Amino acid sequence: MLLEDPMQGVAPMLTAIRKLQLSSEHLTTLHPDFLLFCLLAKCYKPGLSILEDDIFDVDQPRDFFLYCYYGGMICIGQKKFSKALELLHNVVTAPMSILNAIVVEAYKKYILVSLIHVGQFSISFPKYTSSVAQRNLKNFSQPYLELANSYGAGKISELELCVQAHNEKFEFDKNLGLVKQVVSCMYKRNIQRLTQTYLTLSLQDIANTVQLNSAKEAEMHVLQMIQDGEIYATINQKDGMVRFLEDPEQYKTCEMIERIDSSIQRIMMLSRKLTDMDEQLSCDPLYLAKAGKERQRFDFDDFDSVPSSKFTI
Amino acid sequence: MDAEDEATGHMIEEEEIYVNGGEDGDESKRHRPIISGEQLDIEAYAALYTGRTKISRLLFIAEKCGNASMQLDALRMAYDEIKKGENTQLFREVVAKIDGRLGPNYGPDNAWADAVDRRAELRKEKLENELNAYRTNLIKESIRMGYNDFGDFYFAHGQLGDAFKNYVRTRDYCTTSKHIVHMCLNAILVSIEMGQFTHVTSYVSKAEQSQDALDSITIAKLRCTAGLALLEGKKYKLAARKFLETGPDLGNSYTEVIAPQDVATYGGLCALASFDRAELKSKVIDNINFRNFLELVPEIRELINDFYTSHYASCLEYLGNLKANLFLDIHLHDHVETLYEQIRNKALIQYTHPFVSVDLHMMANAFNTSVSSLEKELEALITNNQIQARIDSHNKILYARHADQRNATFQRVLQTGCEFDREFLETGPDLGNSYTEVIAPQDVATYGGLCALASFDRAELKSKVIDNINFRNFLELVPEIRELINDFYTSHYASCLEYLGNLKANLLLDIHLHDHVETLYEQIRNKALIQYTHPFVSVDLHMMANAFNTSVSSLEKELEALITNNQIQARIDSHNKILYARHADQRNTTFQRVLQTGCEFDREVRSMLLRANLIKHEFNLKASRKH
Repeated sequence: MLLEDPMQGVAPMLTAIRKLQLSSEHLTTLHPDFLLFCLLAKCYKPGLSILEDDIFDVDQPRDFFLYCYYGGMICIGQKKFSKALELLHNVVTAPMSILNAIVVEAYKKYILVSLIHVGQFSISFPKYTSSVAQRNLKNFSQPYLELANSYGAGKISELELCVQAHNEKFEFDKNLGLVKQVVSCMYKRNIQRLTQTYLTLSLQDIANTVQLNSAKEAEMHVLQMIQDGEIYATINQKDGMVRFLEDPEQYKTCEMIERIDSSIQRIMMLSRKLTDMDEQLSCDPLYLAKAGKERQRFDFDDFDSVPSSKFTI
Repeated sequence: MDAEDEATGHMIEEEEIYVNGGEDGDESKRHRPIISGEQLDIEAYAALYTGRTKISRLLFIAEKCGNASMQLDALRMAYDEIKKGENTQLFREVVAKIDGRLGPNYGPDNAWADAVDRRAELRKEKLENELNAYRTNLIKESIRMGYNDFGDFYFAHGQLGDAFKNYVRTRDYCTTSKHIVHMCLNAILVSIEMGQFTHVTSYVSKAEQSQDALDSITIAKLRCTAGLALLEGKKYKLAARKFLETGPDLGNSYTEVIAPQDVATYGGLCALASFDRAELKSKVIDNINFRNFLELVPEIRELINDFYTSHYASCLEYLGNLKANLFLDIHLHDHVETLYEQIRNKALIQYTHPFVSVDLHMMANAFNTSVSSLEKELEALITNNQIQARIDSHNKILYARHADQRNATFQRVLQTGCEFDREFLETGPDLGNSYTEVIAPQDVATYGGLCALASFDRAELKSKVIDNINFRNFLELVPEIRELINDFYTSHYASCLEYLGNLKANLLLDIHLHDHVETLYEQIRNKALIQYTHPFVSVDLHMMANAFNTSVSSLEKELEALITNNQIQARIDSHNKILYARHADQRNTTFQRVLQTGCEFDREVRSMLLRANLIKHEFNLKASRKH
């Protein structure tokens, strides 16, 4: 690392991690450092391969935060937005007693990625977010929230204004690239909305509705989206018309069945893990102590094995 | 009958130019088709009946028919008929109606009237004395006869209420079932003349209870009258059944109430309007008894056969020819429209029934109408769910459709104003002007009508507003609202929205309604748009823009908004300006949802396990310095 050549460090780190891990689900201290290397060297693929493993076992919380944050950034770089969203979500909602910088940065990126990937952002936190996060995160990310609001309004011009207004902040946070992606996503989302209403629409109309400058630009956008598989359409250049088609997926192919099957397997495994975790927690003395405190002292109905006095701490 | 022949002979002498039938005075006249395409032959028609009903029918024709010659003809015959009887009240009425137009022979004959009255007085006294004598002697049979005579007397003199009372009084003195039947028949006769058909029904059932005294003629009579009562009560199916059960023995024995031609006509029309195909075949076409009746009115027979064999154009043509004369029938006239509408609808439904797709041009030819009016009719039928089909308005084809999973598109609209207007619609008519320190009855009508229109679905609108008798009184006060609601229900959107536009300025001045006017109008307009598109597979936006009196581009915008809000399941072909209905593919959406749920579950559980792990290790994170 000190040699300013992160590229060289990537491969040895990878091997080290594999050796140190107790299981593929274990997060070591090496993980975030490794991801940092990948980021600095701009070689994301090995980073991704590490990220593929699900992590369930964490030693150090700081590692965890860093790991998720860096992992999120790698995924954004590779345009794997759903994974990025997941990782950033984990950071934001992780249990914590004091706010830290990593979470704040992660939250900002989280807003942007959710705008890009899902098209909307809800201000309310899920219930399991720590109260610390809930109370304080918003204060630190004001410009991003404004951006989310104007995105929700659906007007390109407003969005651009907002971006202009907070340009410096975005640049300072090194998030300008993401913000630009958000703006381009806006067009895509508007076009997608049109597929719900129209069967055929002229390119000029598309340009007008989505507030693009010309039909040519609209054509470019639509073409891009068709290639990316985001919409299903055919462009009739002679008439200047776009015809929107239904999703041709019939859910009848073998691949689809395999996919469903593997999903089922995964989910079964997950629920098994869940039950295990539940059992473990039930036996945990701390949990029992807490639960015991809340029970009635003289509960004649359940005379099973937990007399409350034994566990008061 | 003597009186009959005398009358016809009398007419030949007079040589009235009003006679529009053929030669009269031949016996077969009675069996000639009376109700035909030409103008009603009044003499032949009147010849079917006797007694008081003849007079009532003639007076009815005189009142209802359009031209003066027919009117005078009818009045003349009525005059003659009355003079044969003893009803001076009716005589005076007819004289007043004639008004001297028929010459001195048909003027007010006071001498005759007075003579009749005097005779009546004498007879009445005599009857009274006799009755008192019988009553003191307590001879049941004589008392019964006495009351009967009284009843006949009053009936002849047109005092129907008293006649009825006396007939009913004989009930206590009836000893045999024959007496009971006799009393019932008399009561029925008077009730029909009075127009009180509830009595008819009850006395028919009473008479039918005494089975032993009933001969076939009486049974036939009772069936007819039961049918007549049901017809008046708009129960067409049951009425048809009763008429069809009437035995051929009825013949001409009940001409003081109904002629056999009428049995055929009423029975045939009601059956056609209300029976399904199987019943029509078994009970009408294959019914030997009823065939005798149908012979008397060959048009009805042809009509029914045409309908059954799907020759709709000629069937409807017959119907059209008969219509004018049916309006002159005293029992049928206020049911003609309804029956015709039902027959026409049944024809349309039966036509489309065996097909998967129907070319509307061919159908319009078959029904002798234009494609656009046919489309409107089909639209109404589809909206009322009587045909399961959708119209492809672009290619003019009707496609059969099975019921789709369409979400109720009026959910959001239903929520607003539902409670508000329900209160209003339940306001009884007694409100009147008694609450003017808060609200005027016109306001009840306006608020209730507008809110109902904005929030009810079609079925509720029909049952709670249009068919609501109480609320009708309120609607009479504000006829625009009434017209507006009717227009909406019958899909005349342009005029409905025009009414709304006119009312708007005034409604904005109403203290309670002003801040709701915009919302209600928007909802009504949306509902109109949704209802318009509902029965179609494809809609030409130009036509729709015309119907709504707006431009295609603004219409497109409105439709876009409705589609985005999921209130219409359709998509717009902006190139050709057509709206295509789009039905959600349930199977694919289910699969999509399943996969999505799986992914979400995956993600959530993994996060949760992670978090649990973190908590379990019981860490406390200290604030570390920024990177």
